Amino acid sequence: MNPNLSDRLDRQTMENLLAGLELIFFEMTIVDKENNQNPVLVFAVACSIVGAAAVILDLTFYFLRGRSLLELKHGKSTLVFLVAWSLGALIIGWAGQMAKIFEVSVTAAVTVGFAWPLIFTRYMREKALEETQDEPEQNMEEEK
Amino acid sequence: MMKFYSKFFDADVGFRTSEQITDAVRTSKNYQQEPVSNARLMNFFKTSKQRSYLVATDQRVYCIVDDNRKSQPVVNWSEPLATFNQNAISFADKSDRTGLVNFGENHKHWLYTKSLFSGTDEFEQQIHALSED
Repeated sequence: MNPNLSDRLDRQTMENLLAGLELIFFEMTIVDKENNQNPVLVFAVACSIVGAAAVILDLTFYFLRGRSLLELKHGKSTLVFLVAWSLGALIIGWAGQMAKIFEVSVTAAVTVGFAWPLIFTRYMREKALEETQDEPEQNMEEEK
Repeated sequence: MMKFYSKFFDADVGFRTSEQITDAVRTSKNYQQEPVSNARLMNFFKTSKQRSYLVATDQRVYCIVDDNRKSQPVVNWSEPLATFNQNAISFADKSDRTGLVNFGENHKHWLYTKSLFSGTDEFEQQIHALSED
């Protein structure tokens, strides 16, 4: 690819991302294809920002009240939790967009950012349940 | 601790071992007191709740269903080896993962798991190996 074109695309994507984040966080607007060219990226990044904010908020709550609402063991590992939680929110946000589970709104981003481990485990449990419910069963009649 | 956690990921939890399955032959009403130590075993159906086996002793072939919700495996039917070998085995389709197998005229519509075999030819080969060893 032409390096100039690549630079222009990168700049365009970054501008779209910032414009989308502004829409979602400061104008409380739902981002879609009509007002932004990269709604999936905007949502994934928004989720990761909220995820990082969630861990910081949890850390302040931990200092004030001595317990973690996100059930994290704060200390030396807090920075790792922050990166991991934020990365997890980014992936779940992106996957949620692919699966068309969420709309690109601040409410959805906050939900994913704060509660993605819960969403993830519940989704996986439901998928596993769906699979086992459809299983055929062999005849259990005893020999005559 | 790891052993405890591994239980949640072990698909075999609740199912009987191959030795316990061959031993279940003794609970059959048609068990002829033949030795089971050298019995051959073939697993043809496998889900998260059930497994089905054919167990061949020197005298009979037993069809055993092991359900992890039940306290012991159940012998569903059995047939003398000589007549079992004369049975024509036929197959039918049921779904993407499961097929139906008829072990002759008397034991029809048994479910089998397709992924356990490369095809129906391999299924038949395993049956022949089981009953002709």
